[in-house]
Amino acid sequence: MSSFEFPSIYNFPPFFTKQPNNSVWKSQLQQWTTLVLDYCKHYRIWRLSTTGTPIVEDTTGVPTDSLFTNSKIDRHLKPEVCQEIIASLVDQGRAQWIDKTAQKSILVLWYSISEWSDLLLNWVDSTGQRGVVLTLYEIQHGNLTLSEEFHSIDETTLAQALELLEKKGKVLMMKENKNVVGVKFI
Amino acid sequence: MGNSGSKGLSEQDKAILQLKMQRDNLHKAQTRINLVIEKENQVARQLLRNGQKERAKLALRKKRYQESLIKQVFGQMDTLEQLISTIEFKLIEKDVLYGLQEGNKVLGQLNNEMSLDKVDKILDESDEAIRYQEEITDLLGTRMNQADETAVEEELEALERETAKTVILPDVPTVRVGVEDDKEKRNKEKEDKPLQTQKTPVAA
Repeated sequence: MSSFEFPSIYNFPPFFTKQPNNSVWKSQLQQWTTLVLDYCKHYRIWRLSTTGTPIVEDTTGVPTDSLFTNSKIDRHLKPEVCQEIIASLVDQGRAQWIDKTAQKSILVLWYSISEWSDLLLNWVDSTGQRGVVLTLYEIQHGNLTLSEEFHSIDETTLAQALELLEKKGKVLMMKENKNVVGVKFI
Repeated sequence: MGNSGSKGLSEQDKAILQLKMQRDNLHKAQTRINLVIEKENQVARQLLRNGQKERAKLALRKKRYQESLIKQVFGQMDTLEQLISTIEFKLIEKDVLYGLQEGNKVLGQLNNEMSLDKVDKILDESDEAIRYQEEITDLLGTRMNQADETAVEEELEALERETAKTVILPDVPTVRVGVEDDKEKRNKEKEDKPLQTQKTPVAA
């Protein structure tokens, strides 16, 4: 995977310090949240810890160090500022706490749940798979979805997108031992 | 679709889901085995570099075994995929058959509505109507022809008047040239010249 191209501000040392002026901080915060989303989208990081390190099973091609640390200019964000940025993402609906009380890590939503559900529906339509039984694993890791943006999508995010589609009557859930394991688009 | 069950899910759907889950399991196993093979390969290399030949051999043997496993996995996956495809295609065939049945039914109904007697009668009636229509056209046609004739005459006259003014006249001198001898022609030309220059200024 090609490495992520950071915006020029990432090499600007004051970017790593919370600016005292409130309006300046607001714009700084906005830039940080955008950066987090772009970064995660690029590396397909579905889960991120509040320290800015990706939580992935397969680490090939994914950076292991925190994006809140820039070793090139020897700067890093203070933990409480990291927390604030992550919390802001959650407030904007661009992330969800994995554990609401612990607030240690988030599910990153560079697309919203409803956008994901649209992508899924489009894929099913364009591949003529309405009425076909699909396993969740197949949607996540199947060969047919290799070039789709939702390939390797996080389980929780996928489940939420599917629930939304179920509410709209677009999909039937297939359960086994009360767990959804498959779906059928209708 | 033709296959329906409780909540839109049929027994077939459940069976297919089971098959697909088995296939997914094989897919997972395949990724895992691939990982093991890669690891054993690395280990063997490392051991060889350290000079531990026997242990490197062992690692390679393990690798070989995993490779034979993965072949089995591939074979099973293939069988499963085929079975799934066959079932899914049979379901489509079932729907096609259902469609054909329905289509046949409708076709039968439509045929019943069109009994031969009825068709004969309608055809007879329409024959009569056509003949009647033809008679009318004939009658109207003759009358129309007379009217047309006068119209055509008028149009012809109008055309003649129009052409007399312009296009045909220049031809006249050439016709005369063919008939008369040179002397007369020269004389005539003198007379014609003013006329010609008037009509075809470019030629003069």
